[in-house]
Amino acid sequence: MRPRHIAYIIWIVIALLGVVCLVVPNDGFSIGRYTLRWPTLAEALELTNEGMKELTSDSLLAEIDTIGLIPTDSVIQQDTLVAKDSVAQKSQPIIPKVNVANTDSRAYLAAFYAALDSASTQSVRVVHYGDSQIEEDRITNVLRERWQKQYGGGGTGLLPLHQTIPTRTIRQWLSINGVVQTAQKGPKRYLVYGLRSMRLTDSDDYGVMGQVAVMDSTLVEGSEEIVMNIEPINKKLKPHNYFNRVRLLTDSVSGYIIAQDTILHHTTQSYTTLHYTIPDSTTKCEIHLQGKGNVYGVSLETPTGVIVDNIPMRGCSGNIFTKIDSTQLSDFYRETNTRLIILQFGGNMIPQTENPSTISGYVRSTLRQQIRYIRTCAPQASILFIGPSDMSTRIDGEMTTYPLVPYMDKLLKKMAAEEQIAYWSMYDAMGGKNSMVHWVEVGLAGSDYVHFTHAGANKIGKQLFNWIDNWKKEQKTKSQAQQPTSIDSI
Amino acid sequence: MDFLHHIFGFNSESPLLFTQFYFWAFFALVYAVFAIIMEVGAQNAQAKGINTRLHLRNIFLMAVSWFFYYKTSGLFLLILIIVTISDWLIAKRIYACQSSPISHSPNGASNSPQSGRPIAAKMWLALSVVIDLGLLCYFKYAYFFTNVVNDLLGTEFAVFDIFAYIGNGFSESGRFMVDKIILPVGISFYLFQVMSYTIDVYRGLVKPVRNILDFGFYVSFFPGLVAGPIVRANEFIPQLYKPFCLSRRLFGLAVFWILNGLIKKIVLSDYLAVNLIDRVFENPLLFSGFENLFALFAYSLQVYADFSGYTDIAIGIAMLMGFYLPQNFDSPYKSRNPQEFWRRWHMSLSRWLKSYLYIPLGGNRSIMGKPVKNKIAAGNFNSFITMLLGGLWHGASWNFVIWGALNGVGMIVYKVWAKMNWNIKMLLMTLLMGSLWVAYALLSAPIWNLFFVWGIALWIGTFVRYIYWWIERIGHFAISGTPRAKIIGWISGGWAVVQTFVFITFTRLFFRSGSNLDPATANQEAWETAKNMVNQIGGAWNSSIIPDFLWEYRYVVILFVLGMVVHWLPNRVKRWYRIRFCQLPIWAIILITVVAIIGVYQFVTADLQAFIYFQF
Repeated sequence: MRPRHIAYIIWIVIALLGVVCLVVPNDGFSIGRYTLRWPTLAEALELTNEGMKELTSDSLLAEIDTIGLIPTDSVIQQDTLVAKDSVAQKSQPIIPKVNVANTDSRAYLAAFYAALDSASTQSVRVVHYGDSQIEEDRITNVLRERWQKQYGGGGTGLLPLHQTIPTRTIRQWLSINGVVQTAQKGPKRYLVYGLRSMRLTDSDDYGVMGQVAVMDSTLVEGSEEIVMNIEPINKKLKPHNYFNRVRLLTDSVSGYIIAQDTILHHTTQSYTTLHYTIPDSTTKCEIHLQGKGNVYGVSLETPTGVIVDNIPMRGCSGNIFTKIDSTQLSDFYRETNTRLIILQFGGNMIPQTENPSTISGYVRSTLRQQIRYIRTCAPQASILFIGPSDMSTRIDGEMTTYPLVPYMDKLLKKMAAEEQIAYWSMYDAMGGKNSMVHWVEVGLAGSDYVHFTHAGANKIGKQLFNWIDNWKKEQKTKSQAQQPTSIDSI
Repeated sequence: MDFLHHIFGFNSESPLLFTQFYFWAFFALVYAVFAIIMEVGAQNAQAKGINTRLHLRNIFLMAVSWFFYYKTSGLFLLILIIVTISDWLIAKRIYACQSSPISHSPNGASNSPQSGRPIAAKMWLALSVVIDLGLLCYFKYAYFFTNVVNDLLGTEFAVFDIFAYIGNGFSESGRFMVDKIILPVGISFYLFQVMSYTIDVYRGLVKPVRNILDFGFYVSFFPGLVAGPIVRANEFIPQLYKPFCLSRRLFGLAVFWILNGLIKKIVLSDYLAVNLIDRVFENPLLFSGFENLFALFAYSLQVYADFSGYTDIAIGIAMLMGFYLPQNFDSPYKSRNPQEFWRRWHMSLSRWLKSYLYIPLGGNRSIMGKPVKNKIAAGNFNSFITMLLGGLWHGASWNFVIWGALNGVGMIVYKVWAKMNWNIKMLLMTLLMGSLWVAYALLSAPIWNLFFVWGIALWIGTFVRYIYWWIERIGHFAISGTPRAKIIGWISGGWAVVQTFVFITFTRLFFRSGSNLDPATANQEAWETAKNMVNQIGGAWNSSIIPDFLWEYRYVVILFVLGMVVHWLPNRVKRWYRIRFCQLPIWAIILITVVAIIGVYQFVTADLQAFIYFQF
């Protein structure tokens, strides 16, 4: 063949593909459940102006936002939407509009701020519950590090008996007669969240972490004990690596700890807790457990300062607290002076539904019920709810924010205001619509367009801390400004 | 202006890739000019001579290649130009220094011995190697070596980009960042290519190219510039002087390779990566052992589809312009052992490493320059070193070194194993199995669970073959030559293929973990990823979620299975459908091409698989 014949063929193929560009509608051909897509000429040559794209999607949203508001119930004002064109109908669910009062919800943390001031004489506890976004101690570790730096305190807080997901701060493992135990071989675990096969069948004693390990050391030949080993991960030690008190949450298991080459037995005992006091601060210890019973967790802490627990519940949407025995929760919160409970849920609902009413029901009913239950268990604690991050999916070949993320964010904001709890919008903090795409591009979030990388988790953790901390500073400044000037100072 | 800048300017975010429409528009324009040069020149060929036309074509394609590289790597084009000039000049000097005239065979090969080369030639060769390897080490291994030195000596050195410093007018601030060294695209490939040329000239295997533009064309020919195949000078340079020739069937074959490559790259590689593999490797702890294992096997297919897809397209494009690049892959997962795998995988690199590393190291004759009697030991030692360095060539982190070492060990174990008596094989395998069982029972680290399961599979395979060997040995049960022998041969071959595939897949654990990382933190991150994946695969298996996983990720699973089935199709079947495609009328080829491109595009725009959390 001669080169010009080949050139003709190449151009014929390109011309045919160009014709397809003109023939296929922008949103593609629907064939049954599938849509056959093909780019426009501009898209094909990647000459589309990014600004134009942004404008198009924004104007679509604006169109939705301007439609009239029809109140449907007393809790949330919703409107009925009619999407105006086929594109909107196809790619965007019909999203009700939510009106949110623009108040600073940090005012609901006033009791917590006051408690922080007493951290020099007693411990103040913060319990951070969340989904997989906080696994590996992500986000929580930033809060802990900063609070402990400001108000003192040490230790990483609660740890499960058997850590199946390593954290960034503590290395822990379980051993029997010196042999390391895997999750399969160690004591059986039961979870209030996750696989149904891991639920307790005859009780709701999951404990404050939502998980319980059932152990029986009498079956262990020789030593008749199960050992939980703890040591820091990083060589560069931080305040949270040092602790001098260990709290063992259990019903009937006993034991001793070895720290700084000394065997220490428990000093005091409350209903479900054994307390161990270590003469000097340490970074590692062995907890020797004996007997038969439930272990709900082990806490590494100090008697004063701020203690921050990281409790990740993978795949959970925060609907499990009412399934945990209320006495267990209230005993723990009261005994440990828990003054702030952070709930970070909602992200797991987003990929599962395209129906706004499902999200609305989840926020209005399920979450509200959970928050009220927690408040009953911990009346002294302030509650902070953190909404889902921006999350992206591919719509018509473009990575775009799940349409229901902003909707859920607004609903949560409104629900939080009504329940008088603080609300922090992680979605807004990231930059709002389509911010996840940017976070992925710069290495702050992973390729699933859902989870943060460690760098991203650090960044969001700092943003969260600053948001909480700044309000206290602002109030302090305000109160100083309002104070009448003393005559003596003139 | 913006439009022109978009077309001709460099943007690191949008390199010129074979998978973009923009590239194909670029190629259509290039080919149009190429055709004009060839056709117009052809009319005057008698008058002006064919060489002028070819010369013009070569210059044009070199300019296009430089533009292609600029669009991909920006000012790193200067590095490409520098090595082109330096190796061209040095090769000429080497040739001039040769003490005696070299008699060349018709294909350019020489029968002259290497020994007795003048010192000046050796010095010139050393200079060339220092420049080429120096650039490679600087750009690719600066972080790796800095980390090694810091770890060993407790220092806190940081990398410093001297080229950026010079580019800023000897200032640390300016247009270029001095505290970060960016790896130029394709540097490992074209540096190996120019090194092969200079060494071949030194060895007298090829004459130096007279015209630097021809040499520049050989170094920078754009289809294979950024990811190979690594073309040896004596394979490519003679083509520069041959007239254009592409038969009707070869045209069909070129189109076939291009479509084949696009399907491999976009349908298999990208889709599997985006929807499963990247997610799992980024955070293995989010996924169960089964999902991690599946992602690992899927990665094995992905890396093959990605790399071989690229080379298929490169071969097809080059063929359309009348150039023939060497085959780079030969269904590598059909290999029955690691040694065969490396003869089928990235063949141009394997050949390069053999010619320019394994043999200079001593081959099977000497170790560290000292001749040894035991050829097997020498061969194994040098093979291992070659694989180790080959691993490091792929990337600058310990994970790649481990990956290379594992492949080296695999090859040596196979070579030793193949020569063993079956009684000893069975004994050793039983001992290994016993040891793994003890380790599994006593040590709870998840890796022992993994090894134990793998050990069981290996033991069963060995046991069955051992029984077969015994039956063969007892004469009156002889199976050889019977129809049953063929079936047993297939089963045995299939088992060997699966074993090799599993082995290669597990070595990829280290390969993938070390890929796409910031070189400053590559070592730590790669190791963590590999460790977490092993822990998940060997520990948190959680088989109850397997049905859910298979259903929710059905498209990924179907693609993986289809990909493996097509890969394992017999060569005669593949040859059959390839020939059938080549024989199709032109209109049918055009139609199939259009339909295939539209089909492939559906995978580019397909919605992501929903992200599902599976619990522990």
